[in-house]
Amino acid sequence: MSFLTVKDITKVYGKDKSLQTVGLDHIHLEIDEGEFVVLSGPSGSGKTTLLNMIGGLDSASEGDVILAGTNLTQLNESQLSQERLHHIGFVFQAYNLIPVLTAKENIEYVMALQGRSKAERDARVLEVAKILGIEGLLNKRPDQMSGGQQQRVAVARAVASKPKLILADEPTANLDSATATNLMEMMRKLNEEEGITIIFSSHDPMVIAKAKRLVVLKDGHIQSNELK
Amino acid sequence: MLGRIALRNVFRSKGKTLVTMTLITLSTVVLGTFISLLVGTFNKMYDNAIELYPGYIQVSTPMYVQKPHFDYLLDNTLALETKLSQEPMLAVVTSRIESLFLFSTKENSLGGMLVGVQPSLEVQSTKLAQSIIQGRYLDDEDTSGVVLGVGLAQKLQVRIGDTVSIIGSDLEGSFAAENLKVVGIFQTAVDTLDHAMAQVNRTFLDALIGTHDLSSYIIITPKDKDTSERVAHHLSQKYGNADVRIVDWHTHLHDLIEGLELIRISRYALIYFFIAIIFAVIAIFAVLMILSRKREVGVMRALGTTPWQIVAILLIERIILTLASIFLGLIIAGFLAYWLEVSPIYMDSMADMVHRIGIMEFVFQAKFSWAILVQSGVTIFVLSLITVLYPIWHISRLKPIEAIHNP
Repeated sequence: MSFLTVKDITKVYGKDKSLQTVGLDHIHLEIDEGEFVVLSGPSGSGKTTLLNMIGGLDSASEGDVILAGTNLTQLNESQLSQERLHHIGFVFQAYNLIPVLTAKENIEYVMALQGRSKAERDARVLEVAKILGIEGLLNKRPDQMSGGQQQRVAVARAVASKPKLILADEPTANLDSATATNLMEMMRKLNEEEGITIIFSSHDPMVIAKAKRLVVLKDGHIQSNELK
Repeated sequence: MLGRIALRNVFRSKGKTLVTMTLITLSTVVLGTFISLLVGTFNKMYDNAIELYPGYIQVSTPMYVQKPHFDYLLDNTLALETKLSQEPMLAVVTSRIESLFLFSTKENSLGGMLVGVQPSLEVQSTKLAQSIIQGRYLDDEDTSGVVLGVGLAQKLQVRIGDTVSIIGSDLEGSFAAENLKVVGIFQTAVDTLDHAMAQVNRTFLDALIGTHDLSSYIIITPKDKDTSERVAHHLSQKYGNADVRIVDWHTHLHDLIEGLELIRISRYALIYFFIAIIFAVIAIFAVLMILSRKREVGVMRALGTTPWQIVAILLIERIILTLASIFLGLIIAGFLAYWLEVSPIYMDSMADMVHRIGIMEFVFQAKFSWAILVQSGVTIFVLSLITVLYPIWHISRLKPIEAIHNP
């Protein structure tokens, strides 16, 4: 059985049948543990919608999302929160750091919710910060950092708790090419060294080039799904 | 971590926080001060009304209250007074005898109430002696001295030292008449007292009408005036019977209480209406402040924060902000209440209104009480939490995706 199975997922927006829009149309996808997958395709193809379904952020109209044996579509909001807390890390296009927390506090936020000890959190924050080269930023607040610095902190937050899966929605979209390349190198390294399954959504050719598997979406359908 | 986020969020939007804190502090000051003022002012009005003449606790026959006639006087009052005087919770016990007389001078004749009092005890029970505007109040040595209400004195055209003749009947129904020397004139501003009452030493009146061991009332002042209801109940159980009725001022001033309660309720309604307006503004502010953070809450939810943890963060924020505001508000309200307690404001413009309901003067005087301040603080605390319940419930129930996609 695959680590992640997206089984016949459909997402329809709108209640009025005449005005309904199909975001995803009977998508089926299987991803193994430790994969580095990029979901690509033009705007409106369903990349972000599919990522949201996988992350339990949005509910499907039909179908199932099974992550490590747990069917996310059958969980309530609290159970989904627990699933995200313990198994999924997120990196958003707009960084979305918690504005009142320092970089260090943002990185350890998920671990704090998980109830891990301060000593464990501190050690892990330092470890991840070293990997991502952000030791000097730990005491800064988001409004004191550049976009690239914030995104690296966001990546650190996503990986620090050692989730099984990281979902990144166009993480390089707001970064310059040098910073974006650097970030992708780091994500690739984390995938290889920590064994974390990573799924990106992006139409950035540089990101696509780094993928081990490329899934191309168009109009809510999978157009191609190939290992590189 | 959640507490840290909440605390920092309080200081994050300084302008909005300052506005909310100012409004909550203002509400606390208004509520704490005005409730203290209302309680103090009404207590003062009751004290004025009670101590002017009726007294805290009255002992009489049940029938005398309905028909103030010689047939219904309280009997064996000397023995009862002696027993009551030995009760440890009582400060003063004094008796009165009331009788209708015709007051006459060369110029005029007028009907009125002549009250025989025990002067040294009466001055400890009531404040009529403090209302003397000419001459002096009675003392225990007075024989035929009389103090008159200012209205009565004016109509009789008498001054201090003048003689007033009184004509009435004694206990047996025989003719009773005597000449009295005016020793004092009082002005309470209460019409019924000023225009129709005179007081003499009851020893003199007892001799004139033969009421030696009979009284219209025994007036009792408890040591702790706030306990008069409980004391009256205790005395009633111990000494009350079919011929002896012992009631406190809540009963014998029932009509006055009803009148004042209506005024009190209207004042409370006014205060709470004002507070409601302030909290409507606070509620609008709370909705705007909390719902503007949808995106941030959505991210926290995506990271695994549960709806209840979101509720906790937002509630802690509100509690910190509210408690700080209430603390500040109570300091100001406490200071104002204390200041208005020791420096009461005398309102001459309200005199006509209160004279009509039997109160000598109207004084704005607060009652400084920790209980009132704490009660006001708790009220504001609850109201403050109510204003955030809807926005917190709404934002915590949003799906993460709905919240994240909020601009």
